Amino acid sequence: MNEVSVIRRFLAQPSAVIGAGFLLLLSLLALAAPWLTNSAPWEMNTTPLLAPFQDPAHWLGSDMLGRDLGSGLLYGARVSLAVAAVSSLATLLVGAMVGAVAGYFGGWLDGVLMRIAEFFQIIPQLVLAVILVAVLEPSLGSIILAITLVTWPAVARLVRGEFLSLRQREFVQAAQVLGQSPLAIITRQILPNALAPLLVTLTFVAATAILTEAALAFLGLGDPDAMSWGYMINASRGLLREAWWMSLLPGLAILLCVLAVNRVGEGLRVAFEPARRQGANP
Amino acid sequence: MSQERTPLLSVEQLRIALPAEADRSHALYDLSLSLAAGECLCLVGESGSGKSMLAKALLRLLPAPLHIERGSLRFRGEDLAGRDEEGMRQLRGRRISMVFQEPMSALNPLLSVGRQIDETLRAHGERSARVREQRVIDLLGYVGLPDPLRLRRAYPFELSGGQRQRVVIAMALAFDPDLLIADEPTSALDVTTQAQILDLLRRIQRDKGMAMLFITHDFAVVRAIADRVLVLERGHVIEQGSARQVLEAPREAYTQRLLAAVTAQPLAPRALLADAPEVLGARQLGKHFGGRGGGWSRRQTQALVGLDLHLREGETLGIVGESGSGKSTLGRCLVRLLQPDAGSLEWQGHEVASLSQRRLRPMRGEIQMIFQDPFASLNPRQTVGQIIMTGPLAQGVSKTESARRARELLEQVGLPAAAFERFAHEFSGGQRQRIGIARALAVRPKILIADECVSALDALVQVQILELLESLQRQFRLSLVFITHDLRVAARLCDRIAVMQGGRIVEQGDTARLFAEPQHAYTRTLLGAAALALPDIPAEPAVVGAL
Repeated sequence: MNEVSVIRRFLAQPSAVIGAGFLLLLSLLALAAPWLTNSAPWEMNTTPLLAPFQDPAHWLGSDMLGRDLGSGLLYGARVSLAVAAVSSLATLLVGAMVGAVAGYFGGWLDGVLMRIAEFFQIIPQLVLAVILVAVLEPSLGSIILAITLVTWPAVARLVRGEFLSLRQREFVQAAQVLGQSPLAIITRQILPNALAPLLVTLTFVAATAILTEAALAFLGLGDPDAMSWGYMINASRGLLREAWWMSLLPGLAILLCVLAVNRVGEGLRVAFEPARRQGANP
Repeated sequence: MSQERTPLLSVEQLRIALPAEADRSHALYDLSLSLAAGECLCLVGESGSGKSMLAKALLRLLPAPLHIERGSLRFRGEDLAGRDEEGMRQLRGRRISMVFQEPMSALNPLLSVGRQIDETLRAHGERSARVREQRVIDLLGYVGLPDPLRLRRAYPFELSGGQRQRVVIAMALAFDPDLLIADEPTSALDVTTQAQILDLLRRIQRDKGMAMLFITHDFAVVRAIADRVLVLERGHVIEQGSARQVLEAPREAYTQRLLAAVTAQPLAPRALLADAPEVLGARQLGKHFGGRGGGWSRRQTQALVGLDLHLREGETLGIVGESGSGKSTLGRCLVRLLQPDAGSLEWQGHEVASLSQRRLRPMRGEIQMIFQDPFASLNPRQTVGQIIMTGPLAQGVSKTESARRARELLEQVGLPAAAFERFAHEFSGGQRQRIGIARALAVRPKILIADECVSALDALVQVQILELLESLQRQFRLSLVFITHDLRVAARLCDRIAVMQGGRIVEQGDTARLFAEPQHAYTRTLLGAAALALPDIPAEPAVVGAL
């Protein structure tokens, strides 16, 4: 299965390409936020409750304190995307490591690690995240830590499952007979073959991370120094009838962002799948 | 005999086109055949020759992009193209039935076998439940299943492979069809079971005067069952004629090669150095698998029991047994993929039975394994070069030296040098098995364990791989343990053979002696079942050599 055909199959899916394009654009806009906006997100510099398209200098309007909504959305994208990227990477690291060790070595080690994973899985994710952030004081770091702690068990179980089945494959046994060390077998023989489902799961982890961060911010547990979409919805919920755009715009931003990540994940899944079948029996 | 009657089935100039990216333009090209009532025609060919396509075309079950490009299919004088879907459904199962290769996937695992036959009867309009029930019991008894009254309530997983295939046959016979299509019905079975199923099919065919289209890759099966034979190669008919003529005086070179490939040519007895040092020895080896049931269900399976085995330098030892006899477990214990739980195991005089994997790793260069499945045994994400270099690199050989060895080995196993940069999935089964052999040899082992390493390959490719193994063995002075279920293959390659049953070695001895005067009852059963598999056709070594 070669990478070129995977990429070609991915590009053949319009929804996945649009999703990826949207995320790319959003990342660029988020990075360029200081140059694109004429005010910092917390700065009160215009008439409060300005509706969209009324003032060319603040064309997405302003909130009840006269803060520019466009600026808030762009800076919020920074938080959402950063949290999504860092927490899915951290999840990958922890999940893959635990899953690989449990799946490869099995036995009591597997038992202990999986009981720990179950301990995290039986508590509702959001409740656990809220408690963790509340205890650790809200900050970007604690939010990422909380998200990682609630999502790693799913990734670990997936990696463990892949390892359990790949471990029995003859090419892995061949590597063992050739005298390759367990670390080399894990990283060179098994992991590359488990990468496809892992990548797909990671995109869904990223989508969950965006939603969880927004939910935490909405509950007032966001980083107090960072403007975020969840905070914006929280701030505007009392003015739902007077200034609907204040909650609609960040809500739409969350929706589109999560949708885009999901489409990318789905696209990856479809792109990898025929290759996986081919690998088993061309 | 068939001239004066209208043939039951006649196929004329059948062409089935393949999609553009396939390796050839047509799955079948201008295939014509006729089959009289009560006759058995064997369709023989290697995998990919298009033999199963004919069966699918007959029943109009061709997979989506394929269609009949031209040609006609006539059944009892009627052109099948004229029938609509409903008409075909009436035909399938009633007048023409089919028996598939893998009985487990042909049966629904969630329904008792009686229910499944019952449903076939009902689908074709048999209304009375009592008639159906009686018919189910009759059919199960007819195909030789014991105690049909009780057995009809059994589920597929409770039956053995042979019993399942009997159930599938019973289902196919539900309406006394005129034509039975059997697509490799015995290839998934052990030799002894295979012989029984062939017996059964032959008996039914004579009893009922039913015609049979029998698809197989195995000339031993052809010999047992065919009236006439049709040989296919890559969609083209190579040769067609009576079984006697094709088997005993084949006209075409391709047929001759196929026949020679299945003919056992026992190895010329080699001057085996009786004083050659022992390189591999097992004493009282035992292995059991513990059931990890829920707490108090502690089932144990004894896979190996008190097994003694020794291998001298340069010798080939065959381990023969049916599936479940423990021969693969033995192979995995010998290379220490599994840890035996009793007895001792020595590699070149070093005791290794209970060494840890870490301690074993530096010694792994001495003993290597060739695996059964040429598709699962190569990492799909690595290039052939990386695969072959894995071993030397793990044993601490430098990168340049490993690459040099890999290129040298590619040449020795008969692969192009360009293979080095390519991925394994670009190669055929036989070529992949060559890559597997090169990988094993890259660490310069003294002992090779080959676990069913040719059973997934076509007969002609099998011969090539066996010849390769033999020449490599001579070149590198290898000692070989050859695990197989196939006595033919064992006879061709091995100096000595050990027969396994139920985790024990029941008999071992020199190949010639074992074949001539088997001591143990089980060996005799195996040999008897394989008698059909050991045709006494004069071999043509010149043709084989030319491959």
